[in-house]
Amino acid sequence: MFQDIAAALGQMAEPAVIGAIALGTALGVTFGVIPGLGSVIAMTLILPFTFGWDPIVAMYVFAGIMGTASTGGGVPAILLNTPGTIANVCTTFDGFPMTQRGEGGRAIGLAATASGLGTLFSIIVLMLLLPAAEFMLRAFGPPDFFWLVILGLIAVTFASRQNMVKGLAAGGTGILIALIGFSDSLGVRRFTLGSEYLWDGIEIVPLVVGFFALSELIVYTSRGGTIARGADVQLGGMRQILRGAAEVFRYKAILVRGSIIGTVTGAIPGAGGAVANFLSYTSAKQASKTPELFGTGYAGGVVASESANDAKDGGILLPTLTFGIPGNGEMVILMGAFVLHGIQPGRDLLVNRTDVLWAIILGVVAAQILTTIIVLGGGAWLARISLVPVKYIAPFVAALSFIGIYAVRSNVWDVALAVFAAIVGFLLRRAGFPLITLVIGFVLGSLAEKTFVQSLQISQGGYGIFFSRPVSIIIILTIAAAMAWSLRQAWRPAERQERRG
Amino acid sequence: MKSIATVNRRLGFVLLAASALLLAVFGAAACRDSGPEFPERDIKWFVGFNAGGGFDVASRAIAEAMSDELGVNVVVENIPGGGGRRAAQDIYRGEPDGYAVSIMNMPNQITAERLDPQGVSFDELKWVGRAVIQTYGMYTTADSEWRTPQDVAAAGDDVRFCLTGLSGHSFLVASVSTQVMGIAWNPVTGYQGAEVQAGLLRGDCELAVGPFAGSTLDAVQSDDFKGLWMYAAERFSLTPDVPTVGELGFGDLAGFANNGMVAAAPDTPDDIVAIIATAFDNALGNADVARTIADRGMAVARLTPEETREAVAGMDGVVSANIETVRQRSQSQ
Repeated sequence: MFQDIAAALGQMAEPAVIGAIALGTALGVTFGVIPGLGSVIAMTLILPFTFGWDPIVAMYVFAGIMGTASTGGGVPAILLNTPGTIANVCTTFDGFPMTQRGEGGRAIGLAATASGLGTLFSIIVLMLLLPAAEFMLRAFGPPDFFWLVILGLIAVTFASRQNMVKGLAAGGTGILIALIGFSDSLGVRRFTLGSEYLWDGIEIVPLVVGFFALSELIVYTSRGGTIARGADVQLGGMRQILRGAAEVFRYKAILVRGSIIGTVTGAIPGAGGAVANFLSYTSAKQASKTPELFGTGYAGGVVASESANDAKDGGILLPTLTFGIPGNGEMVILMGAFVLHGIQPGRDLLVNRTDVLWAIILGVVAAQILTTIIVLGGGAWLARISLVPVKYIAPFVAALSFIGIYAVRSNVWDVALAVFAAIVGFLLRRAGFPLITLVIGFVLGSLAEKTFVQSLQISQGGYGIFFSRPVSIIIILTIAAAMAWSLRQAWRPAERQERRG
Repeated sequence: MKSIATVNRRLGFVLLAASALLLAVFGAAACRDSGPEFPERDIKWFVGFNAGGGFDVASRAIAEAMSDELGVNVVVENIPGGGGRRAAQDIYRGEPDGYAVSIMNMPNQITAERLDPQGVSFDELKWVGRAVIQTYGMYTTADSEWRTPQDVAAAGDDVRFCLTGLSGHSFLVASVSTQVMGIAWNPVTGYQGAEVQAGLLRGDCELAVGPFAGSTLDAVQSDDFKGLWMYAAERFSLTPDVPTVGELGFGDLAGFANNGMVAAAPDTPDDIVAIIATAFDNALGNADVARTIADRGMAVARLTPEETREAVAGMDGVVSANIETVRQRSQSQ
């Protein structure tokens, strides 16, 4: 492992890798700062362009974006009261009041440093767990994978708390879309309507570009104006920013708790940065001796929010790299990048492609350090990007999307699919269906089918294989516990209302 | 009396007409001598798979050397889709002008076409030659006690194969091998790339079959796995300890391999095919090209256009002879 790390560190001195980290960081911070865009859209847009690149260089770009968007997203949350990404919502609670007091710089210093330290913490945890990944891969057979995928699907569905029925419908639709195409496991065509284009199934790149980037553009364009509504940007000078950066260490307990919550939450499919953000903020408030200060411009609130939303990076990479189970939108795109560059998560990545593995891990660390410096130095200037009128941003992003999609396979039907996905995505958004759940259903659906068929082939038709392995039993119990907990949470408000009544 | 000027004018016309006639006659002869004006622009080289695979790497090395030979760029274009079917269809329905060629994975694509016909007739293509060959082999975990097909057959029903799917060449090789060698047929499908090796190590299956190249070759050369036999007439230089099927008494099975064969569109003129084939053959003789191909566990195995056509016809025969077995085994899953 140390040899691999040393080789990856040596590689980081190469101009192409330095350029890739810089590009990923620039994209991540920029898309993070612009509210509503975020890392998924940044990764989606750059994905087709990386086709034909050295896979290592491409992975540094993706790692750069992953590690930085939520750090960038803290800037408009603090200065404009508009979270750059959904994982920065809690940052507005205390960050914006600080800006209103003329302490925006201090809040940015706190946020950037907490983000950086949170990421470093989670990456260290990931590095400590990686040696066990090979053992985990041997321990997890197809029946265990099947249950793990089911756990992921259930977790993702429950994560869409606004409307579980719509979450289930979106996830189920994703699974159905995954069935389209030639099934190598069964040797049959399904739902291809005689079309040669659908033989390979629905391509992930045009699907996600349409769903995430293009449908978002339709939303913005139909609304007009600028992405963020105007607000006074009050920073307070560089000295204040540095003061904030140093002040983080006064909130050690909040920082460590937020980092742990972020790392653990990140490893649970469907939870991601937004859940980590809320859990960390709520637990910090509950544990505080002065909970009344939270929400009034309290520095500890910014640390709690920002440490957790970035600490999810290390946790979320673990199931993706070892099992190929993506826990959120970023990981779905990373899986798409793996497909594009001929990389198989799991044993191939852990044994044969350690260069790619460490490019991702060290790329996240390098980009996070770079972002912390960028945000500390130029956060206020970056926040003004979100005040550029949409009519200038939308055509540029749309053209970039179409060129990128066509570049991957030189297939004009991929562009048509992206346009179709954009329209469907726009309508689904308006109807309140979670698109992330749909795409995760799409990715996990094919995995669920594959592992189900494999299990039955291994047992030569015996269903007992699903219930006889220790790992499977543990996962089944976890699924049962997760479902019981979620149902209890869902019934609680009704119970309270009854009691009140 | 005609003036001298009029005579001169007539003489001038006669001389002009004669010159034009001479130019036309000699010009045509000159054109016939020098052959077609080909190539006048870049040539596309289709690869039906994503960039980075064995055939893609070989194609890029060959295309670069061919560019030097032909004086125009030979541009590799990846057209993934349908396991190489999209590229095959593009070349099959393309213009017969020689400005596009495609490398195809044979007999994989014949098997796929037989199982799910898409209207591509491989005998109509104009074959340029064979670029590379990846010979198939059977392998298992290093701790296995099996050494011969008889050992495996004696294990009865406790033998399972980890395979990619029910349509590829690995499936055909495994199907035919089990039938000829008397080995039980229990495929476990859905393993991509190194997942096959993870499946073997976990005990999902006991056997795997595939071309001894790339990550499979790395695995067979590692301490975790061992090659059982190769479907070749001679031992492979990179796995010298692995016997051939002939040495184990199944010589009829020798020859299962992935062949990277290059074709132009049907009806492409023979003289144009000959120009491409000459440049292609010279490129394969290039030491840098051979080294690039060997580094990926593949071998250069040159064939003339006619030999390539015959080899494809032979593969078509083998696939046709076994396709019912494959179809039945595919449908029985």
